[in-house]
Amino acid sequence: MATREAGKKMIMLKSPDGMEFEVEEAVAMESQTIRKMIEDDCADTAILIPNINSKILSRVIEYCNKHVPTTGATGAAASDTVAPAALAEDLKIWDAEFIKVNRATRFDLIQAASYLNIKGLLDLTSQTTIDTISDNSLEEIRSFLSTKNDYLPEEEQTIRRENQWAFQ
Amino acid sequence: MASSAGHRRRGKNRPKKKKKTAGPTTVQDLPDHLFELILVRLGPSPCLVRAAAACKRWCRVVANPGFLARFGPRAPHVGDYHTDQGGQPLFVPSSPVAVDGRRFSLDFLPDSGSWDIADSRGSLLLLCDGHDLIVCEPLTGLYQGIIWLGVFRRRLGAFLLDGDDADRRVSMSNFRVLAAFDRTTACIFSTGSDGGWRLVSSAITGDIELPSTLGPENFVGRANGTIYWGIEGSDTDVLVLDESTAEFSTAALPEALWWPSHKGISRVVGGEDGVLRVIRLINNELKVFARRRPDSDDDDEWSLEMQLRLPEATLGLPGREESFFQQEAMIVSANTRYVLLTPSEETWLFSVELDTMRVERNHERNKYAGAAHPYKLPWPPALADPSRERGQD
Repeated sequence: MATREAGKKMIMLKSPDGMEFEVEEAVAMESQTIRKMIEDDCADTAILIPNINSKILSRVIEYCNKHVPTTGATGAAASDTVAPAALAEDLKIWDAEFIKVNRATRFDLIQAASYLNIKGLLDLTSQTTIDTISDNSLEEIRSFLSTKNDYLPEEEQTIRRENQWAFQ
Repeated sequence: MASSAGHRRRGKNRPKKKKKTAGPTTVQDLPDHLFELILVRLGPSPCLVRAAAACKRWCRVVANPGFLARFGPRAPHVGDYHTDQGGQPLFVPSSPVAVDGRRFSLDFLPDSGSWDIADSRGSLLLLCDGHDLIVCEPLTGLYQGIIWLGVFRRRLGAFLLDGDDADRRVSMSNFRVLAAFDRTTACIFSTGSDGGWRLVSSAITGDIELPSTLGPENFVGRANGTIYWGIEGSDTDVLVLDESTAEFSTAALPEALWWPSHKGISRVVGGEDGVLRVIRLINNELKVFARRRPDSDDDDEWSLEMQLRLPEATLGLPGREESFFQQEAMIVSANTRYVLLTPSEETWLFSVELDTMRVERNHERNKYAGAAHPYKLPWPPALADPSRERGQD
């Protein structure tokens, strides 16, 4: 990672709040959405990323930068290259640190990963969300995700009664 | 290059106001498809049901048949009740553990020590103490005693079936019990207002001599809606009971498969795709035959799927003695997943996976010398789609 050859093709990503990020094309192409734009020649030198603010976009770029394959990162097949075990372990540790963010940021990252179609980031963010609620009671699930209970008391009672096995 | 670390901000720093209302993003800001993508990771579990109860929108996502279909058509298997000679049935959870193991205790039953498990289906168990039958759901602690026609001393077996209401999953209010008494008589008990016992008599035609001694020990298996009993002394014939009609008849298996017949060395099991399998143990060699086309009577439709010499295949397993397999080994039980076996010299249980032929000694399931009854969650959960209550979404 430390020594990259000069002359890599760069792409400009623009967030709706006016920030511009210059990234290597290979890094940007970790996003299948951007990859398609580039491959279809829809991308000139700057791509506007709607709905993703600069704070989130910079985190997404940080993620892609870490996850872009280190060798032969120019060809279309590059991102399919399987990382060796040690590298995979390193990435796992890095991911665990990366995702230590607050709830709102995590939900922003989920939406960004979905829009940009970055499977690894989508898996990471959604699994982390699930990890916070599995094995928890209904009340804990509501509080962890700040969900507002909009059931009438009798509606909730019905669900609890008919699925009693899931609530004990 | 100066920008080699990755990206470089170019500071036209004039943040615009967000279009949506201020405040941090919450889970409610996610569109339904992302919601599904997150919830599907919970798997078919109690936690998914609790998540559905968190708010109406989550319930709508989870209750959607398309969402539930992502987990497959079958209820999630959470473990097996193992029966052991004379001992209490024991629940062994399959991993990963979705529900606290203590929830599967049968302590809630009256005279809880006296029941043997006869069968399982979905989240229900059918138990028998020699006289009475009881159907229960351990996860909810519900049970129902079924008044048993005590006039028949000897019976071939009792089995749980889906309820009369085919659109609803099997439950404490929707199940049937099939009691096979002798080769001419079976009874079906069904739940519901017009339920109760119904007697079905069968007249077996043909010139097959059925011994009067047929009993539960002759049971060799159950596959694809049919229950099988071996007939001692017959090289090809088996007694079969059709689960849908409760009628007995006889059927012939190819001699190459079924000869010689003996209860300790033959089993019949079903498969996921309607395949019928015959498991045989001859000269300490385990053989599995399969017939892929269920309706075919052509003997050539049978193919040998697996062949395993037990003396060699068990070499090196912990506790394996030199003296084993001098005599014929025995099949203790068999199901769609594995065969449980022991040498006849002493009880030393090991199992053979049907799809991989893997021989296992240390598995938890090899600790109980009896049948394993699979247990599933009450699935799909009872979640009314809240959008339906509003008329239209």
